[in-house]
Amino acid sequence: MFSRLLRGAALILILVALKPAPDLVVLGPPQTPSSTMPVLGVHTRLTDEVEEWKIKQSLEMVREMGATTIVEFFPWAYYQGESGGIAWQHPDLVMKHAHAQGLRVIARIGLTPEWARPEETTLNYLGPESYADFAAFTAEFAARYEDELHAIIVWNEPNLAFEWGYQPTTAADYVHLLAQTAAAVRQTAPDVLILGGALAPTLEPEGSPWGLNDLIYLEQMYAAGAADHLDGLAVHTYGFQFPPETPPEPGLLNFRRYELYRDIMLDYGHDSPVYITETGWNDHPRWTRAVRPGQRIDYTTNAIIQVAEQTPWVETAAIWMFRTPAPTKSYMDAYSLVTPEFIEKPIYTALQEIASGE
Amino acid sequence: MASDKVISRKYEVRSPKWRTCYFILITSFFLLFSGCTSRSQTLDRIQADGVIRVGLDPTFPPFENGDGGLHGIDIDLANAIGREMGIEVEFVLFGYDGLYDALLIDQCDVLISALIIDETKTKDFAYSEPYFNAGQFLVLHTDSAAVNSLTDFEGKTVSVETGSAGHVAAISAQNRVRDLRIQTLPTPDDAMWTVLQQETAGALVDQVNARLYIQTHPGLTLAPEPITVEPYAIVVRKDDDDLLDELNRVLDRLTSSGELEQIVGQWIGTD
Repeated sequence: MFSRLLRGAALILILVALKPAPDLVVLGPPQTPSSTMPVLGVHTRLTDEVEEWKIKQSLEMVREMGATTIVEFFPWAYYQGESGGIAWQHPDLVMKHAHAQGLRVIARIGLTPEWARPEETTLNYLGPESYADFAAFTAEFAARYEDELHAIIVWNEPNLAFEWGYQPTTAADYVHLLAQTAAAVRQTAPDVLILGGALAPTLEPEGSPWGLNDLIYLEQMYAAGAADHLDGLAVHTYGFQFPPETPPEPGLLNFRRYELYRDIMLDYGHDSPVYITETGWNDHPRWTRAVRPGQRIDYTTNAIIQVAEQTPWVETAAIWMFRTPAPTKSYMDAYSLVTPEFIEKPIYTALQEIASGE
Repeated sequence: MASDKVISRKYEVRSPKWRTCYFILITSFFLLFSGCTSRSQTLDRIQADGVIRVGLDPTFPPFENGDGGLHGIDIDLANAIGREMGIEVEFVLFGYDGLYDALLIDQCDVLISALIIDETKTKDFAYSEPYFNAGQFLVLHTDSAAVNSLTDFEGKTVSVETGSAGHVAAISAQNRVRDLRIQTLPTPDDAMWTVLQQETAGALVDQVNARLYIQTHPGLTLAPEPITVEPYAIVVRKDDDDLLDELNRVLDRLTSSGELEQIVGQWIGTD
């Protein structure tokens, strides 16, 4: 009898020991980034990061690097079902940890759920019939995170056929989307800024099946009335093989291309801030537009210093990108600042040094 | 004989329902595994046509270079494979970003293009045994017999190219190797020069750069074991099991005969 009781007790002990450990990820005390370079931001890649401790560690390291702002992608298609229900769990995690680290969040919203687009279209396809659905989702997103959210970027690189679901890339359509989204967000979350554009730097001529030159597209956006709906312009500008000080030219893709964007904005009387939401250099030997790893460090740090000192109308310069959850085994790995295992790359340390005033 | 009796007795007590169950079970088993062993049409077509279409991105010397005619390690490897299989090789050129899509939509039969094995792609693709490791290796002075691996670097200095994968590997190793010091230099050649001058105990450099430099700088050697592994392999579509088996057999023959190392050595120097 006694031994049976003993066995029972042992079994209970074993079962208790097998119980999953409680969630040990705690927010910790609220933090504030300390940075002499508040313009420094970084585009995180937390969309596919499922482990909460990794989300927390990523954002801690972003703050410790001296960045004040993150740009993060929140795909509509991942969150909203046909019934209208929204799975908030993952964006909740990202937003609460970003808030705890004292980071400003700029949210890029994109990708269309299957129920909001025709059959056999890609996730990047957003037809005019679904602009209202996109606007409604974005407005709900903005309202939910109004306290943590600095700005929303409406869509991504609409001047590329791939990013616009292989529809003809017309700036007028994009401005319609912008107008509906801005109106909806301003109703539900009036303090959240509306950013648009986020154009891909490209020299594709008019009529190209792949896309349209970003300067032409931007001009067409403003001609279609984009300024009325924008609180600032989101800009993607990459250095490719040129140092950051190389002067801008319409026929050249380089870092200072954002100055040409600013000229177009001012031509249309739109004196609003520029948010560089993607920038950087790549040092992968496989990529034809790559630079040496040491050049990548010098160019990137010099670019941030240059923006901070010379262009007060640039609100943020966010490096593409912080970290991927797993290696991509391609040149994309050579854009990151830390490895998937959280080892700080030398470029991370170099950015940390300039942000700490060293 | 005794066992026959046991079997017959077992059958006697089984009802027709059991037989139906066994039939379904055996049929399911056959259907399940028939998918794994069936021949895909790719190898049949390659053998019928006598041509294998090899996809590659010709912008990555010394593996593939399109300037001045197609040449490089992967070209020679593909030709050796074609010879072993008794077929012609047709090269089909793509941009790097389009390689996997091209294979998926049957624009080519295989990819031989210095591609690293990527576990995330194994839903659609399969990889051969690796034919080259592009990872980081220690370059050592031939006089430094006491130093063979990073664990021998306690209190010593390793030189690296600033910001390179070797630099990141050295930072990572600092967690395991006590007092490992890192000297950063602008290029891999600069890093290896410090070893030649015996200013540092070793350099951490990728295998291609290391072998190219050692070829022209006597006094340096490559440590036998890699510090990191970046395996290049041939890629086929997931269902092409028979083609993959054939390619692995050929790679095995080329490795055993020394021809694979000969091909690599011709472009980047002997190991």
